Amino acid sequence: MKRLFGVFVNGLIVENPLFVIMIGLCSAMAVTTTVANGIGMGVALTFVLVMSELIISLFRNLIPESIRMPIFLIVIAAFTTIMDLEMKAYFPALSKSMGVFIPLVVVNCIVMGRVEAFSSKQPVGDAVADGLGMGIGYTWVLLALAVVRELLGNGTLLGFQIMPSSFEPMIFFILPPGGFLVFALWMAASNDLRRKLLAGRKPAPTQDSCCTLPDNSSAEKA
Amino acid sequence: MKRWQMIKLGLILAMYTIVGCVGLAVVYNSTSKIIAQRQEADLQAGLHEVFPKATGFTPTDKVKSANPKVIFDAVYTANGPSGALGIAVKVQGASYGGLTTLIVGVSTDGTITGVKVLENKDTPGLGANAANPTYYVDKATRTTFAGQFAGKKLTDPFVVKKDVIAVTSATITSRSITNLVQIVGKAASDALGIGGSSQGPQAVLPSADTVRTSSKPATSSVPGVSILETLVGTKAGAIVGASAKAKATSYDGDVTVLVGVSTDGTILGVQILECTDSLGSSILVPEFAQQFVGKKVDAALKIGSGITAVTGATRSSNGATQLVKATADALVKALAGGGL
Amino acid sequence: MSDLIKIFVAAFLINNIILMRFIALCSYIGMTSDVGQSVGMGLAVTFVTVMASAVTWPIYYWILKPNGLEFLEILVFIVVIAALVQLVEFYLRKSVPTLYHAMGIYLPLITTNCAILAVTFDQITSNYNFVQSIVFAVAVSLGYLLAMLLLAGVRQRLKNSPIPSFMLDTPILYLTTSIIAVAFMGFAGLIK
Repeated sequence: MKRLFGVFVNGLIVENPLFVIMIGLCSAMAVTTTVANGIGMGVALTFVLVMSELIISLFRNLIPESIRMPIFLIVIAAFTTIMDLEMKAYFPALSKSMGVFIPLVVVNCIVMGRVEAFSSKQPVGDAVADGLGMGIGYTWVLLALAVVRELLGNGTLLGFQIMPSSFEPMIFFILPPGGFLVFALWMAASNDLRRKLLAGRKPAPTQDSCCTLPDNSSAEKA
Repeated sequence: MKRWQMIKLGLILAMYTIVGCVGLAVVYNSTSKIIAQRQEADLQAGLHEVFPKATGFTPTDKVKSANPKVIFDAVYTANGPSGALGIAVKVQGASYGGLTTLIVGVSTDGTITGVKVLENKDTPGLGANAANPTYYVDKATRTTFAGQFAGKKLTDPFVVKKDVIAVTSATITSRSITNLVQIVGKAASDALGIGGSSQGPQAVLPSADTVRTSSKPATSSVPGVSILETLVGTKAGAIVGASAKAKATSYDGDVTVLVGVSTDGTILGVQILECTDSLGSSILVPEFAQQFVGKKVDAALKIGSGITAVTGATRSSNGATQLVKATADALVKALAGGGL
Repeated sequence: MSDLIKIFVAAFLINNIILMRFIALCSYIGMTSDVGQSVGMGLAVTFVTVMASAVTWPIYYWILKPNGLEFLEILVFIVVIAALVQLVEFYLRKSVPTLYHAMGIYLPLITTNCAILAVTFDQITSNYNFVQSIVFAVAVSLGYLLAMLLLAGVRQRLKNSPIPSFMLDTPILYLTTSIIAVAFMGFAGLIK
């Protein structure tokens, strides 16, 4: 039980997909113009992630090594479609406002990365704990982004007016440049905190296969 | 051996695919009904929003879109306790970030009863505010962008930043939606047979008491201009002028105009009947056509000299002006030739 | 014709896939530490996007839609694109080794590049016909290439710039991107 909890917590902070592994960023910045969208996207991704990890971990001995990639793709695509259809049926407004980013969950590096690196080798319990941890780790970062952007860019939170009526919304924050800026600042804060916590101990850089070439290990560190 | 291995892998892959597809089909079947119901409920709610007093809506096909880029998805007659209240149209057309869908209601007395934005893919925080029920273009009266159309007369110019308040920093979205509302208004008013008195050949030949079809149609020597209909206006039996309906290609669509010319070569009236250019329908404002009235046909009728283009539709304005000039020239020639 | 130009300008600059739509950010950060690499990746994406569009459009309109199978869109598109990338890689390695060395090494990264999938979905939701789809695909991927090149250029300078320690590595890249994106917002007025 303690081990499962460790796996779960891992995704929240230590290996946070957005701040630490830095994958799955597209949707993180695109949908966080409102808190509601952020929650919706977070739940959607967590669903696809947990279900895909569960199924693949369950069938991990029945997936031949040489064709594992296409099988992963099919499983992930199937759960993405299910989530897409359910969203359209039960949360049509949310589904419309997230647009193409719902189907794009299928190529979200978090899902593919975790399935490939973790659940295809681990027992079911660990896989589900990992999916939940990563999913919630993704969701809280989305919330952090969305709260800042909606509050400053629209003066509201979850649609409720928070700022006094004399506050003129800074539209910049809900526009694309604002998204990049808020993310940059949050990430700087998170990096700074991590540097202090680790106090000189450098964590092993996490390689992800979907964004960088294997031999291109952040050449700019120097 | 190797081939056997390949077949085995293929079969495994096929099995996963089949299981996946069957699972999706099951989910699709259960959700598609809910999605359809929800869309229907949205549509009904939208219809009732633009016609709150209606007791029911019956589908009709008597309103057609004149512009191929503007699709009328569904058209309904709004029924009241005592006869039809007007027409509601679900319309789809291009906006800044993709297609946008509206419901527009037009009452039998020639006013817009309401506009509801069903779908809009424009920039969040900017264009998307057109569909936001808590974004007010007029904070004092708490009027939303779509809300400001309610009660608007179809004879209004429908020009953003003049009689339509734009969404801040989203002029393109504001224009596209205004444009769609106006197109629906025009199509619906044609179908309802309202606003007819200011339309038609009589209006461009105000000095005539009777208007009849010409026995000799006018022809234009300008390539690309086709004269669709020639009419002659008479007063007490004597010819006082002639009018023609003409069509030509403009920026990326067609423009159709109605021009009336007196026997002394003065333009009596001009109406821009239709313009299928993208965003070109803003030249349908009466003010644009009005500029031609009273001008001599042989004067330089050009954008920049005597004629001012409609902002945001310079190319369409130019196309329409050239067509008016060509049609007027043709009419003067026909009048001089006699035998009408 | 003016229709196609509008689609091109809108997809290339106004709705730039990276700077305005946040799509394909991983490769945008991961592959721009070197100008040559960013160009290679950009060209590989252009090539595959156009090919993928040419394949998925007929599949959707001739197979999925007539049979009421639109709900398989995500699954079919991703599998088709993955298979296509494999085929292209295989073909290039065997037949055009020079081209393979220039851009083939990026191909494995492309299956999970969201830009390509996003383009194919957009073509369907925007009701584009085949020609419009191809123009859109070319424009989006050139926009991708342009954004990659811009960041790669700036990164050359960043290497020797004094950067506050808390902004080091990725944060400064997103800050730069934010400023580039502000500039790109100015293109919005290009189309009335």
